[in-house]
Amino acid sequence: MKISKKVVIIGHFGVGKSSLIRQFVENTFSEDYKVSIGVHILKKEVSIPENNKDVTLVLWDLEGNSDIKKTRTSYLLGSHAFIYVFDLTRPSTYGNIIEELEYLKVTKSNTPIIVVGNKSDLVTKKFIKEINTKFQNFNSIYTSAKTAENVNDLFLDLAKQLV
Amino acid sequence: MDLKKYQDHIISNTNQYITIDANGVILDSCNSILDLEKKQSLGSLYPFFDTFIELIALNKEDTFFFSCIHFTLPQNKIIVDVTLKTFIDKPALIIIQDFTSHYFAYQFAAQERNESVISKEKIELQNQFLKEQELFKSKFIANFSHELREPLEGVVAFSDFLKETELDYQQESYVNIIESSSQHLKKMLEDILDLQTIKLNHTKLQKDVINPLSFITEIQTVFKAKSQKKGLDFVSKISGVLPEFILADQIRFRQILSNLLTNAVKFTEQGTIYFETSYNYERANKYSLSFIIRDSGVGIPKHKLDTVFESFNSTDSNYQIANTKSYGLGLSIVKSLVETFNGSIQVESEEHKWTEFTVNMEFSKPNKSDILLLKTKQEQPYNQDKKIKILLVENSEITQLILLKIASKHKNIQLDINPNPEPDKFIEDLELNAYDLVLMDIDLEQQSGVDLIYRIKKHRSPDLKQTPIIVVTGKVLKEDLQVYKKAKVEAVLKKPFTEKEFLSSLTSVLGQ
Repeated sequence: MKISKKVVIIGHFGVGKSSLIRQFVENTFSEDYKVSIGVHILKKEVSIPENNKDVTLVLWDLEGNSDIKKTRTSYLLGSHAFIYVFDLTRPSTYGNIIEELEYLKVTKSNTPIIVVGNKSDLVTKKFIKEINTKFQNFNSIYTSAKTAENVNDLFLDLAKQLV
Repeated sequence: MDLKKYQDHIISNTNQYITIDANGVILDSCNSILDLEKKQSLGSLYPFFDTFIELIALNKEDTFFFSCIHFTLPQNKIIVDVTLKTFIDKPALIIIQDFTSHYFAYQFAAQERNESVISKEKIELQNQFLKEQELFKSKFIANFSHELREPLEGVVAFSDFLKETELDYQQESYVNIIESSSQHLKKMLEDILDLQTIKLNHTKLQKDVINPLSFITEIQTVFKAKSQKKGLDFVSKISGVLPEFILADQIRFRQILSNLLTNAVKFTEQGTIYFETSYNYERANKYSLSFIIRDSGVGIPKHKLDTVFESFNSTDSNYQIANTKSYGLGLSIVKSLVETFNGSIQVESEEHKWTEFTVNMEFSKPNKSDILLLKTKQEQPYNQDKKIKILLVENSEITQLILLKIASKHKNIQLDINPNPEPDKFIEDLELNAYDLVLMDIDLEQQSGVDLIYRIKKHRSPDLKQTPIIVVTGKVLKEDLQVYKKAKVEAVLKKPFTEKEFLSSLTSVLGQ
């Protein structure tokens, strides 16, 4: 049976949500920043060798928003997972992240959330270690859409959680 | 065409109506935007519609609205709003409305707005980083200069002692070089500390009541003597009537003028040093005074005039002509100090001919009670007849040796040393020996000197807690001094210190 899962990618603008998806789906990266408005939907099939299953991840790339409460509720309908992306180089993109995640936890209970610190190529490992202490209660991963570091692992781990 | 036909044409070209069953299979479509075929799975063509199956499965009458959805078509990209209408036991209706041109315009505005916010954030972060870097550098330099004080203390004090022994001519000249070099190094350390203290905004100006005329006259007298000693003329002038009293930090005010005048004398081999003081105006209870210091010395190259007030930026080559030592901090300190007076400083110069500094500063007008409190503090000479019993709590052998050496020269001083006090026994010893004074180092091995000070100052015995304490330390940053002040010590003797400075602190604490 075909398994299809809706994954909503959220976070402030300019954190690299679209770049992460493009890296995962098309294996490409562009330094140019193009603002996303509304929502782009892309999909990719992921094979999970452990249980011999294929999952189609339908990725909803939402426009950047600094307040999750302002996100159009229809976009979140029927979500199977959330990926909350922040920019490791811009504190404003993770300043209120705990409140945002708590809101998601309450309004969309039982929906898995992964916190992604993107642009890891621009910061030191020490900094990542420090910042990770903030997210000890959350499932977190640090990626670089530019170098593709941890990008496939992010979506593969998520797919495993969803089947 | 009539109006109705125009309307139908436009609406039919921007709206599409689709009906699908509970499995997402297309039942019908007018195909004005998306080219669809009946019996196709809509979700497999456009993944956006995948989620609709779950909503239709709810089997109730409802409406769901999705705005600004991007679709990639074979020929182009479009941005649409989508409405899903679900019914009980009936096919669902999907209405797609094409708003591509509207959303493109919005995207352009959003792009500009977001880019501007991101670049602003980046600039703020960069500024914050630079500030933190500067603060770290300043703290590092301040701490490092403290670390240098301890070994320098030994050099300064023992070259002083060495001079008092019997030396032949050559030995004496060597000792003189050691002495002047160590004094130079000591001055540099003090300047570095000064500059960092000002940069870290740790300088709090005192408000001393000063008679500017006598203050300036005193400075004129000192620098007239210094100039004449070097064979230079010294011309001074006071323009206008100076106020009778002003409020200013006497030490810092003197430091500004002395530093500029010292440079003027130092870098001039022949000619004149000119020093002018002018009264400008009184406004909002503030007096404005300006000072001009001009020399006929080596001058400053034109290309270095812009950086002359930056740290470690002395105009080396010219200064070396004057055969004097320069370390490029004096003018930075002066500028920083002038700024703490809400003032400004300008420099003009012609290389090999002259240099002129103009300083403008504002001083508060003292009120009558300030003037009544004005007392002239005169340094009291040290009285060698009075017996003094001192306990030195210090684990640095250099400091121990220096103070033992000084004590041996002054028969009235009895110096006991406790390098590593055990707190309870230390208090017992103090009670038994009734010392006139405790000299306390802060960095002890087993116990903090500050803790020991608190034990003394909070002791139940009135005699013991009144024992004067002088902290002997190289840790003299503002936060350190606040700790000593809070512990109610009588004075702080800064390492490295000379015999004269030590005796002067004794006098200030114990009286004549």
